[in-house]
Amino acid sequence: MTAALLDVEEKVATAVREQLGGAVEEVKVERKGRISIVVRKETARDVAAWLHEMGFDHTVAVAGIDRLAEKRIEVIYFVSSFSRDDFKHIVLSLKVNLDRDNPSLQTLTPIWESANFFEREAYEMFGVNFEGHPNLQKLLLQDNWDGPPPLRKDFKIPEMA
Amino acid sequence: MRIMVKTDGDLIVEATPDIGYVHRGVEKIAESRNIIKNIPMVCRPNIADDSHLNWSYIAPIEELQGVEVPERGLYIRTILCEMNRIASHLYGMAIMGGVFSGHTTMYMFGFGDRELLLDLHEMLTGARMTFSFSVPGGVRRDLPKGFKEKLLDTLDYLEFHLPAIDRIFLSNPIFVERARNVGVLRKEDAIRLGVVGPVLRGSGVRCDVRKDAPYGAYDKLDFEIPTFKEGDSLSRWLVRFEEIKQSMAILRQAIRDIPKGPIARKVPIVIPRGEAISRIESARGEINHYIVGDGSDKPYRVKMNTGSFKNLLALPFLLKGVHIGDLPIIYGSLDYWPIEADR
Amino acid sequence: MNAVSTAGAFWEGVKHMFKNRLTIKHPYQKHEIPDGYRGRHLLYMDRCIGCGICAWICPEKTITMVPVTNQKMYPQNPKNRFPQYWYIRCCFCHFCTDFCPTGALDYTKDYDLAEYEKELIIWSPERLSRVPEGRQGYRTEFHGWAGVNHVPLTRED
Repeated sequence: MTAALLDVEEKVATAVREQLGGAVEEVKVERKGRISIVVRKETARDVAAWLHEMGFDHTVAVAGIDRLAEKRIEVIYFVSSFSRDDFKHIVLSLKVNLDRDNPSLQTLTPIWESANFFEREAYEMFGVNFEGHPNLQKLLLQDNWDGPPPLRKDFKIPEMA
Repeated sequence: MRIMVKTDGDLIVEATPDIGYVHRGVEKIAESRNIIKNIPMVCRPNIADDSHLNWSYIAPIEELQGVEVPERGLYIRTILCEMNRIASHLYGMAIMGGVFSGHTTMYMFGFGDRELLLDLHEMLTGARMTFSFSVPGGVRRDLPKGFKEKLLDTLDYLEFHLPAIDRIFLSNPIFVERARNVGVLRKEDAIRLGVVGPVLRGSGVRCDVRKDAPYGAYDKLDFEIPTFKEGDSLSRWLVRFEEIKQSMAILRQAIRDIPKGPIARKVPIVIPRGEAISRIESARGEINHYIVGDGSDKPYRVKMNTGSFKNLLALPFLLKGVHIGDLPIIYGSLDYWPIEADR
Repeated sequence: MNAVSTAGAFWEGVKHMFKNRLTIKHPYQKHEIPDGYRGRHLLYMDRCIGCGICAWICPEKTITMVPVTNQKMYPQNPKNRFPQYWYIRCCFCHFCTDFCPTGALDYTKDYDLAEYEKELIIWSPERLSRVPEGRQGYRTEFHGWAGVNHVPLTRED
């Protein structure tokens, strides 16, 4: 019974492992409707193009996490599908690990145009440089902000004291 | 927010939205408070549609803790969410049909009928707008005496009064000609830009999280998803109008079928290690909360993404090449809530 | 779109001029408030044990624990700590009322809390324990989720 429920997710995970092989580091089906893939930053764009062709046509969110203890910044793209009926309930998370001192990544806007404003927010909050973005400027912070990126863990606000 | 517009005579050449004036840093503050103290703060970005944001914040915490909410608690959350959806859609219709069209009749219709729903909220939760009603494990209060009769009376009155909106606005060229064929969003563009909610369903894409990935009590209730294929501002307004009728049908079924039992389970105030994401359909689109836990009572990272922020990309796209008099109608049909987008 | 339907729309609007209105003429008519409304708090001083859970759970840091002068009347509170509310900060979520383990806090229907002087906004424990105009508390009606066994009210003023 459990095998039938996770049928679609297992098919997607198997297809990713077979066809992309060395480009991804880890593929996991966590529960019904949640798949997670870890890629390297060099191959992120090819994996994204392959997923777009398979049917995942829009981004749900783009999140950044600052792992201070392990000295890395993680950028996660959550994607889902509007056009394919059997993929509508899946949220696939594409995780990329970046170096904390100088994080930069090629933008995925040519593939998923809905990631435009989300990448701008990740740029100003974490300092991640998206190469090739059409309009990389501040979105939410004030224009004359000159401090460090606010959502990093070493930026303390008075309430945390 | 500001919209910076470059015009050539009467036609708009380029429009750029400038947001961020109500950014308060909810995601940063949420890392320094424990999970119960976060609840009123996370609900405040959208005060008209509060119960959906609340549920979307609680759902990943319950998933990580492995707790199962009792049936009666899920039904009470569904009832509150559907009442909230009707109130929010009346607000959205009032803004576009009233204030941005230049008169106040629709505005007063929407807000007058909304008062009856706010009275129902007050009877159930104790507050009119920002309730903070769901907690990890269930809900805070049970249905009081006399709630079922008052709810059915209100639904009967709304059914009697909604055709008046139909007769005054939809058969009247003063409103219809301003909104028909204005701001057309085709199906391919809607999927490419990643819009959600009534904006997506007004362009012909039949997608709704309540049917695709059901949560709460929605898999046991019978309702439809209204979709229109023209993609103009009038069809986005009509989607909200039809959704009010579907919500009333859901409420009648839920209040008839609600089971007896406990309303909440006791859970400890701690988030285990792990990460989870939630998907809830609010009145303006799909909202997600992504929570990373590290074993203490404070979350390590809370990421919030709301329907208004996802729909923002449609605004510069739709405003190219239209007359400047059509700008209020297009902006009103997207139903943009600035605080929800800026967080 | 023809003239008939437009005229019909105007006639519908004119009919509304003669119907009942939804407005209430405040302050001559008052809005009816249901039970369990989240107004200001009511403190039962003979039940408070001074644990400070209300101050810990408050999201806005509204509550501070202060001593009172006639401590001999309340032997159940050995450390002599009672809550004091600074109502400018309160968001009326009533998590303090639901989390109290002895049921010492309660809901009231009082919402007119504006004052002319800044010092009067801080409500001391004695002022919080005054019952507003012959109204009882409502806690026996609600079975809270925080797992507290509600003690039935024994006082009626």
